[in-house]
Amino acid sequence: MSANVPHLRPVPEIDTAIRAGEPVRGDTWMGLGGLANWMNGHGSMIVPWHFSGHTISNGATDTYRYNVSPKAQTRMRVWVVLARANSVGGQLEIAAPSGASRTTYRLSTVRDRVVPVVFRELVTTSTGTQEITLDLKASGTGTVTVDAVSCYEQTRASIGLDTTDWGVDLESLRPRQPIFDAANVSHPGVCDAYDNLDARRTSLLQWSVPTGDSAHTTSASYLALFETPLRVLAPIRNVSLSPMDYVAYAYIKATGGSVFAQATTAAGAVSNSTSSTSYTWLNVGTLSVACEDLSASDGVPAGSVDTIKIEVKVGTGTRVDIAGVSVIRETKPQ
Amino acid sequence: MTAGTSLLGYPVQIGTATYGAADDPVDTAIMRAGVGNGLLHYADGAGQMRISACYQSGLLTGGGGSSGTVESTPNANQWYLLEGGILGPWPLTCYGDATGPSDFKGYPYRCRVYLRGKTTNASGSCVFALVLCPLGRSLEYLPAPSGAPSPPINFRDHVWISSAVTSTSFAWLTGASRGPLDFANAIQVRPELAQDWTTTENANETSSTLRTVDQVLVALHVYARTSNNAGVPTVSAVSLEEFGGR
Repeated sequence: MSANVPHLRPVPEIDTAIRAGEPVRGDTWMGLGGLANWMNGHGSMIVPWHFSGHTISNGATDTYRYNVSPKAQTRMRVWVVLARANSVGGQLEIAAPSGASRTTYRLSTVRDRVVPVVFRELVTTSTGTQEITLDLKASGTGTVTVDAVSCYEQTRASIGLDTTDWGVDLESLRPRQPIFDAANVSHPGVCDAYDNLDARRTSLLQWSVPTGDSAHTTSASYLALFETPLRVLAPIRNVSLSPMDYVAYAYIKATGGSVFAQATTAAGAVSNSTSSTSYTWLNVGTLSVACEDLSASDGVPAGSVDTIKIEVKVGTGTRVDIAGVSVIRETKPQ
Repeated sequence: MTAGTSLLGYPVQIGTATYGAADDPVDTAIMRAGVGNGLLHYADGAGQMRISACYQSGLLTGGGGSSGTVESTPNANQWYLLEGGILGPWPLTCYGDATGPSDFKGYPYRCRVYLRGKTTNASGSCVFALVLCPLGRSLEYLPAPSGAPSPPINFRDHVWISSAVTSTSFAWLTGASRGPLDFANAIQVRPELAQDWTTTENANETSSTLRTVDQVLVALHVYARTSNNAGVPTVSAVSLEEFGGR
């Protein structure tokens, strides 16, 4: 048994349909159950598109690493890579996770003719913050330039009637069906799905380069990693638009001594340090990110969009290397 | 315009103790303000950050590129795809089954967009375009390659055109969507187009469990043109974030 995941989002009417002293129609319950299935069954964008510009040497395999918090329902990840060959006959080989068998794609050398490469990775369901990896190898002729990378969780056709997927059996909500108390069915099934909902905007920012091409500096003052702070907003939370927490991580290492990473939004900065001389995902801190205002045509509260700035510096060592950044929402429901 | 589909604009959490026992009556307040309102609220926030792309500052050594450009010697007044200029495909989040208020039926979530660019020479005035559509369809929606942008066209709020850029320093660009909605920082796909663009995609769950799903797979295409090839259009950042407004 499983619950179908609708392609289009239901918008059940509740203002006039659920009122004290009046019966609630089966159609209303079906709309709510379908809405829960829609949220639990649709995947999230765990790696929003990020620019790279990294060039892979011919014959070399470079690994991209991302720190993500996937949805528990995910069974497939879809990696999409925009890459160009720098010589006619250039190819890209892709594997996910790192070390798995590779699939080969022929690439164009012409900037206006590139076609994104789509690679599907079947995964077992898992939860919690974790590292996922992608191998890219330049084969055929010459080098390959990676322009941009992304990954999304594929939508499920149906989700299970269990306590992992929290699917709701819509047949049990049809008009004239009896109300009864059992898992994943009838009205308690809708309530359980709501209590265990995962509708997160999981990632606001992901960036990765192979460790062999890390960004590095010897500066003892904070230097910005990106050309500009990235513009972001968290999903709507409440009417006063209180900020929502996202956690920033840096994939970072020190060459002697300690190194610092800092992430800044309008609400303030968080920072942390490490003395590790091998790469580690450093929990930089919990960021408060401004929330959307859905009454504005662009969703921006009071005309001001929030930004995230990522910086690194040397503490007492000689050099800081950074090869990854993630800003993710780790806790449900949103 | 609406502040979303929920009644309250914020969630009300409920615990299993409030509904969990067999034979308990179902409390209207829990169902209305808790479950119904909450599901709608969280669905309003379920849009995803699809593109959060920025080149590096150049202040650090290594780590990839610091900007994206078009071909080094572009012809004047011709649209070119930028380096890193096809950001997709990904599945567009859509409202739209037969339930609920009619003004949500079929509409995809709106997308907030920002583009940061410059020209390399002030004598070459550059115009940038963002086109959200399936792969292989973007040329259908670009305006004429030269001259002033034509008047707004129905069904074209999924195309955003910047104002002319003569600055040689990076800046967030101003512009507007090309349809009647005329958004400064957003684009909206019409429901008719979303229906036309729907395809059936692979959603297998194991190597032996074959599944498919319907999706509206789109990519953001980033184009630019210059009035004089001395000025090459260059970008440093692009972002696109779905949100539940309508």
